[in-house]
Amino acid sequence: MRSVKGAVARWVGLAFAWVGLALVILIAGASSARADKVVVGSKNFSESRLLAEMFAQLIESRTSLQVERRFNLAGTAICFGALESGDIDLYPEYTGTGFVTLLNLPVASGPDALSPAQVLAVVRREFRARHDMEWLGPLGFENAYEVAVTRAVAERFKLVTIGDLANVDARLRFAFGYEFMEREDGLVGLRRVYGLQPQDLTGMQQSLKYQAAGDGRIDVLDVYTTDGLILVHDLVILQDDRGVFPPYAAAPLVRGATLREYPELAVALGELTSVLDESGMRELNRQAEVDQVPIETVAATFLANLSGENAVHEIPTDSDRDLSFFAYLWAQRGDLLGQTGTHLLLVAIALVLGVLVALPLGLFLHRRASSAETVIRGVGVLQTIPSIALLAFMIPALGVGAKPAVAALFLYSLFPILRNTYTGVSGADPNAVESARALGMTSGQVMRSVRLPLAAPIIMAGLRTAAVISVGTATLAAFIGAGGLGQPIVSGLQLNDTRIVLSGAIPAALLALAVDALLGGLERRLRPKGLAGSK
Amino acid sequence: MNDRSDPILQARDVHVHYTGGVHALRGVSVHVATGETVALVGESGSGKSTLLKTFNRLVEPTQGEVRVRGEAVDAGRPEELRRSIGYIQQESSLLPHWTVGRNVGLVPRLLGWPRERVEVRTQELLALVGLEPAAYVDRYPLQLSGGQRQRVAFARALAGEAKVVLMDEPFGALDPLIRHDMQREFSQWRERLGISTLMVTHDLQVAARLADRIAVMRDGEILQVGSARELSEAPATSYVQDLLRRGEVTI
Repeated sequence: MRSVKGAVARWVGLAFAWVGLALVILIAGASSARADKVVVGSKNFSESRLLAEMFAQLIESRTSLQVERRFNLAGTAICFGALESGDIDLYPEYTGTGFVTLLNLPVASGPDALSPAQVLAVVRREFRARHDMEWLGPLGFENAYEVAVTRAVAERFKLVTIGDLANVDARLRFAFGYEFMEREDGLVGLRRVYGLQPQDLTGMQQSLKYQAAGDGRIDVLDVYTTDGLILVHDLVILQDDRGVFPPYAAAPLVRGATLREYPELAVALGELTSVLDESGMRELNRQAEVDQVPIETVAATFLANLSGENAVHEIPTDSDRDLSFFAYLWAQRGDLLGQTGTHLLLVAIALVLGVLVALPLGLFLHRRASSAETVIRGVGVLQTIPSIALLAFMIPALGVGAKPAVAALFLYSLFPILRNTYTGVSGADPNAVESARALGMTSGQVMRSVRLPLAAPIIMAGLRTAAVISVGTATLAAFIGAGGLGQPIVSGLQLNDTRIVLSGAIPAALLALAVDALLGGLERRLRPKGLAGSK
Repeated sequence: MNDRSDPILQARDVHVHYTGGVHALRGVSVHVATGETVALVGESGSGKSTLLKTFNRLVEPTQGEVRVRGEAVDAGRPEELRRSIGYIQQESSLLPHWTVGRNVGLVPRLLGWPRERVEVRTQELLALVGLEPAAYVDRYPLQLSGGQRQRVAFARALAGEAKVVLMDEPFGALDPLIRHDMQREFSQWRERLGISTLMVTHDLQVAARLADRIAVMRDGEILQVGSARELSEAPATSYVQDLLRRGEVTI
């Protein structure tokens, strides 16, 4: 039985090696956390990142605190969830969003409409009471939701207000952001107050909407007041004369606990109070989005002008955007290598956990054949949850960052490993299994020495499927701040820059191929000799 | 030869109901005396394989009594019972990921024999079944012909010094030329090792050639038991008479 033990030992050894690696990483990660450090978050659009970068640079220059940046969190719910759970300490938020989306308060229209100062007063009071969070001084500009149309459409239909739009809505093509479609201060309110009924409605990423409007493929879109791209694409903003959109003053939203621990934050961020009007913000957004100046540079230059100093970051004379794709990849190699490492780590930890759960479960179900299909189908349902939704479900329990991403990838890895383990073990050559039993092997020996080795190639195939799925899905982890190769993909999508998207997408695809090849090699080594296909 | 006082295998009034209502055996009694070979002959579905498997507890009777060497089969652990009984199937049942040597040494290792003894026994058995040990011990089943694989299966069934062997169509998958040789050689191995055999076959010729007695089965019952001559001289039913005329059971 020596080589039986050998085979088992190989499997067990492999599993332990992975777990050991995972533990080392987790411990290393945990011990490096929390040393007078604040985490600044942002939503996944340019202005939010830009403001967050300003906050970060200001904190770094005015205090002794270390700053960790967790930008690009996917939407209000995830960003606010992260703040609530303490995964981030502050992020730029808009008072109107706080009022309508987070507090669920009704927007009064017409003469009862609240002024910006009143809205600020309400959110300050309510956030302090309900969430122990503080709204610091607003930056001075309002970035409201607006409904815009192309100039050609505005002139053809003589559109001035959103009410005018509601009269011709059946004849126009609409594209709205996904969040906008669900918000009370968005399409929901527009339907209710104006009776707007878009017939031809597409959900679309913000940066793509502008491109589509510029190309004449859509007529109506939601925009932010301060978007630099409104100017570029010559859009006309329709008046919200019935007050669906409340005032949206941008301000740092900070955890109360963080502020009590580091009161210097309020002083530092206070320097930004009322320093930017709409046109100033629109100009900064244009630099970032249209000229593609790095947000670090835009933020640094602005802060330097603000305090009358020279910019800390030099504006590069020849910007990155003129580089060819390969030159760009080369210039980004440091970041990409780090992102590839993070990506691999997320996948590796998830797969190890997946194997540790799904493999024993598959063996267990073999003995419970009557309930096996039910259980496996139940696990299969997990596979049908859209990735971004599953990632979002994780946030209340696990916050943002690597933990929820690993948890989601783990859940996705279960089904292929479980299905293949069960099928491989149960379907192992019935003649070989019967003879092993008939000659006196115990059921444990039959499992270890016959079923498991015969199933090894099928189990490995399941693991390879799981690995390829994980490498692909992990690109979405960037939406919840876990980093990885999804980061350039998300940024590229927002900047509508194919080159940046590809700088994440191509390495991710190559990584999937490499991981599959690596596991293929492992499969050939684990495939018992004597089976068809082994060396 | 018919020492009825001490049969090595004995079944009395055995019934087997499978879940789903199939009544596979309907009160069957049969015995194999020490040194004897008995053949179970019948169509597929007649219950002959089911009856065979009650002796090593691959099938548990719903009712009735099954004894091996005078002891009820369910008196101890099934694994220990099985290690004392050889078992050979029709299809190659060797473990494909094990070498020939390891396959043959399976039961001795399960019995806890010291390694040297296992090795010696493996070589003996390979030599007995006509496979040069040095040439075959490290090969894998897929590297052998069908006939060679069945020889290894015989060696494996006999390696643990079992005194009784259950065989389920052991020659069924072999091509006709090899089949004949193997049957002849099997008679020699049987004499050399002094084993008793219960064998399932649909081939009456094989049964007549190898078995001391033949039990004809149909629909879960034994119609008649006797030597080939007894069956042909006094067939109990027209089915048995028919069978003898055709020489082979239709499958």
